[in-house]
Amino acid sequence: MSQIVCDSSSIISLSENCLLNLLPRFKVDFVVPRSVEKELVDKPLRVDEFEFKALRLREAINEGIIQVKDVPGVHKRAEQILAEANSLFTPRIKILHEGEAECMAMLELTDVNTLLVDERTTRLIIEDIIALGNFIQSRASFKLRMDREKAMALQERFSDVTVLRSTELIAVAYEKGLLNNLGDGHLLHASLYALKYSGCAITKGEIKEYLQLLK
Amino acid sequence: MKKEFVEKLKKAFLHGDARGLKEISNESAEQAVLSRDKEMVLISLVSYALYKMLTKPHYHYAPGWSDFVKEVVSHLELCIKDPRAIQEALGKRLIEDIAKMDKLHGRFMGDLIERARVKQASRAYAMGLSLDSAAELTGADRFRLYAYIGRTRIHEEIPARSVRDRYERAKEVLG
Repeated sequence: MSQIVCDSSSIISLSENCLLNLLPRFKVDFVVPRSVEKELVDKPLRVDEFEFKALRLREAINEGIIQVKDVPGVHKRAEQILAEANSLFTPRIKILHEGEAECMAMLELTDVNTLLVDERTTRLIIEDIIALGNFIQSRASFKLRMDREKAMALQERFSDVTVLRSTELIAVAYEKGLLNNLGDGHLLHASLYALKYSGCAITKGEIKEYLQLLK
Repeated sequence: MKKEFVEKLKKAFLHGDARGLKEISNESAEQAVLSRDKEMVLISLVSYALYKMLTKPHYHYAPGWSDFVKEVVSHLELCIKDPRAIQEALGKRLIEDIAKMDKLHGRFMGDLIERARVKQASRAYAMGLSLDSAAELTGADRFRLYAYIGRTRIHEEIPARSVRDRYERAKEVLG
């Protein structure tokens, strides 16, 4: 079966809305690197407020809904990606984290070419790094310069990667009728907004587009 | 630079200048994004927590408030005298004092410093850092941060692609 690499943001959005049980309904395996498992389970298990969420995620891993994948060389490759991403700007800013870099490293080191990610920066590094650079420069109150050539070279490494969000997953699930057990109602509208409010980087305009597309 | 921030922080706190404290918190958060300096993060968190306390009457009408003010000023003065003391004076003692005051008189589950971590991580994310990078910077919990970010307008400001293309690709991949 083909695979999709997932980062923690997409898993959290889905889990918060009790949507992880949809994953086995698709003809793909959803995989995470070991570092993402640590972020999803090990750390929140130690916090009263999030212990139950971590237990549910651990259960999802134990049941194979999410699979933890160890890839040889992923740490070293992630370090290299981090070094490149985090030196794009002068002065330097650490735009990417180890967990996100490990997801990107998995994409480079395996034949998986789809990433499920809800947060914005990782997605833009892969899809439109210049737009990310412009965004960061516009938000800084200080002068910030981006090495555009280096940025394009980094993006180019992932040119065959498709980036999906949990919202794309839900849109496909909706169209396949996988949400029908929730009864009548504005299923698509409700689920897209639920994911947005859980942290998925989708705009209201995009949600409107989805509602037009799939009405 | 840290010494200057702490001097401004002390002045704003003593004058009851909540807005000033918020500005200090935001400016030091921005500096922390650049420097990844943990002490700059501490200054930002403490400024934010003190700003929230100044805007909530139930703190400054609470018993112990004047002693708390004296402790805050004492810790800040120590840092001004010797910026090497920031980690101990702010990171340990002042945060403990804030947590104690918050536990006695705060109105919410989840302490003020944790809320400050999320708020300033959200600020870092708004500047362009990834969510995990922002969470790591301030020590914010990811679950709290994602939920908070989802309720802001940060994502409305990002460039968006046509959803049709994305959706068609998703259908191919998901089978």
